[in-house]
This record gives sequence, structure tokens and C-alpha cells, in this order.
Amino acid sequence: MSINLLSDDFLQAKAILRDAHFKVSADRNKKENIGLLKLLKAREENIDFEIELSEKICGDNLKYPYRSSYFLTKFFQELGFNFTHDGSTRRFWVRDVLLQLDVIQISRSIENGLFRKKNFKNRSFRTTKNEELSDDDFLNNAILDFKDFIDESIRVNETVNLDQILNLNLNIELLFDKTTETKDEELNKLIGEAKERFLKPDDQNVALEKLWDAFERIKTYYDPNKKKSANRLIDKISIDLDREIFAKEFEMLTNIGNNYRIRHHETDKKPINTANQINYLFFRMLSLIDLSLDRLSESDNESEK
Amino acid sequence: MSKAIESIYSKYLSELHEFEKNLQEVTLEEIEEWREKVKNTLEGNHRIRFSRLRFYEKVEPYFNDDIPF
Repeated sequence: MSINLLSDDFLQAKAILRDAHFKVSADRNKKENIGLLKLLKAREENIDFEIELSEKICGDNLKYPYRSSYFLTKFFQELGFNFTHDGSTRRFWVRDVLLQLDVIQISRSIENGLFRKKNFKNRSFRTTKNEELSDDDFLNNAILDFKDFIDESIRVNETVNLDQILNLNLNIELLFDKTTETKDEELNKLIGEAKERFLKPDDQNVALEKLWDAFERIKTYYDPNKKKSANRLIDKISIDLDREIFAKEFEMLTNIGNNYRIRHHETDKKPINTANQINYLFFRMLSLIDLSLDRLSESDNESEK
Repeated sequence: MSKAIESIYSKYLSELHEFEKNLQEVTLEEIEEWREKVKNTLEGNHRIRFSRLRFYEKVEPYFNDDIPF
């Protein structure tokens, strides 16, 4: 039996040690080091960092110029690295090269190689998927994609706060366990859509709007005269708690709907920006609607008898 | 503390440099010993990445000389 030493592994070990050394020795007050430390953080957190970066350098990611075998060799040699593509699958070969580079060398490859402007202007680096884009759009799309790549790499191991999970559990009954079955089909539809959309993070503002629409709708359940109907509903839900509590809650939530950017989108309406604020308003309103629905179903049953 | 770790990494890098200069003379025991101490110093994903490296492979001969013809 003979032993074959793997020189690539020694080069990768050197890159890892240089990165680890840079992390503890870099002067954090220097502007150039802040960017490098962010890049290093992305590399450390995202175990697929090199293969994803490789797809950008090869142009397998269509937001970047396509590079054939010849141009991949040229890419690294122009940066001063002595690598020659060996004919193997391009993205795996580039990944293995990147694994041998430390973060300072990776940064140089991104700045002076991946984002070299002349390559975004070279039409022979385009494929049918990106040939329509102007040179500027092609470059700007790549810059945006790269920013996302770094941000997502840094966040890849984030966990969901336990408080958030527990809070959601408390509200699961309100969100999932009840279907709305009043005589008013439009009301049922609005509440169902609000709950469905709330579960999609991008749709939560619309969910809030649908829920406030449902609130306006429920206020006219008994009578087209909103004030008269709402007062009857408040009477019905004020059993063990003072009527004033619910009257004030109806008034407060109506005012929030009128003054904030929930149902009305004029420039003088105040925006609701954070996920916590949306959560708070959504469940505050859903709780009131849920309580009201209990009373509505009772009065529906009474009227059927 | 970080100065101490910094000098440890510098030392490991010099040792690696020595290995590379004399790659054909390095013994498996030396590699294993070095690998173990470096792995135990690294943290997080640096350690995971380092642990994946093999540094050498054992190659079986194509013919088995023990089989008589």
C-alpha cells in the first residue's frame, strides 16, 4: 500500500488558517477591514459559500457574465493566481479553487474579477437568458444579487426566537382552528382570506387590510345603519365585562383603521412598519372579531328557531 | 487573549509551510498530530471545514502480489 499526499488539502488548510488568523488580528477600525470581516462572516456562516460564489463566477447564475473554460483560466490568471482549468465540471473546479483562497484573495477576485465592468459590457459573455439587458442593468442586477447573497449567507444560521414561537402557539386557535360560518358569505370570505394571507410574511399588510374590511363589514351585520348595528353587536358581546370596554375598543380600532395605512393609503396616513406592530394589531382585531362571531352565531341560531 | 490565539495561528501556518516545503518527507504521524492540534484550536465553521480535509489517501496496489499464479 502506498500513500498519496493531497496537496490541495494542504492549500485549503492554509486558507482556513489565514482566515482564522485574520479574524483575530484584523484592525476593526480600518475601513477596508470592515468589508473583509463581513465577507469572512458570510463565508463562515454559509457552508455553501464557495459553490454559490462559483456559480456566479462561471455565469451558471444568469445574473453574471458566462465564462467558458478558457475564460475561467483567464479570470484567475489575470488576478495573479496560477490556476488552469482541467476540463472538469466548471462550477466544481472553481469551487475547489476558491476553497484554496483566503478571504483577502476572495475579496480581490470579487472586486477585480467578478465585478470587472468590461465583462458586463462584453456581449460574448451573454446568454439568451440575459442578452436583452442593457450593460448597466446587467451590472446592477448582479450587484443586487451579490448583496442578497452576502446578507443571506450571514443570516443562514439564524434561529427563530422562542418567544415568537410561543406567541404564535397562543394564537394558533384563532388562526387555524375556527372557520367562519356566518350567514354573511362576504364576511366569511374576508376573515378567511385575512387568516390565510397572515401566514405568508409578504402578505401580512394585505392580511391586516382584509381583517379591517371584515371589521367594517361585521359592524353592519344587523342593520345597514352602521352605528345602530354596531351598538347592537356591542350590547351582545358585553356580558360579563362592562359595555364601555367594548364600546371604546370598537371606537379605538375604527380610529386606527382611519388614521393608519391599513385600509386607506393617502399620504397623510401613518405607515405601520414593523412585524411586531402588524402582529399586535392583527391579533387585537382578530380577538374582537372572534368574540363578536360567537355572539353572531348565537343570534343566528336563535333567529332560526 | 486574541494576541495569544493570533500567535498560535501564525505558528500553525509556519508549520504548514514547513510541511509543504518537505511534503515527500512528512510522516503520517506528523500530519495526524498536527491535524489534531489545529482542529482543537479552530472554532465554528472553520473547524468543520478543516475536519473535512484528509491530507493524504492510502492507495491500494492494482495487483495483489500474495496470489500465486
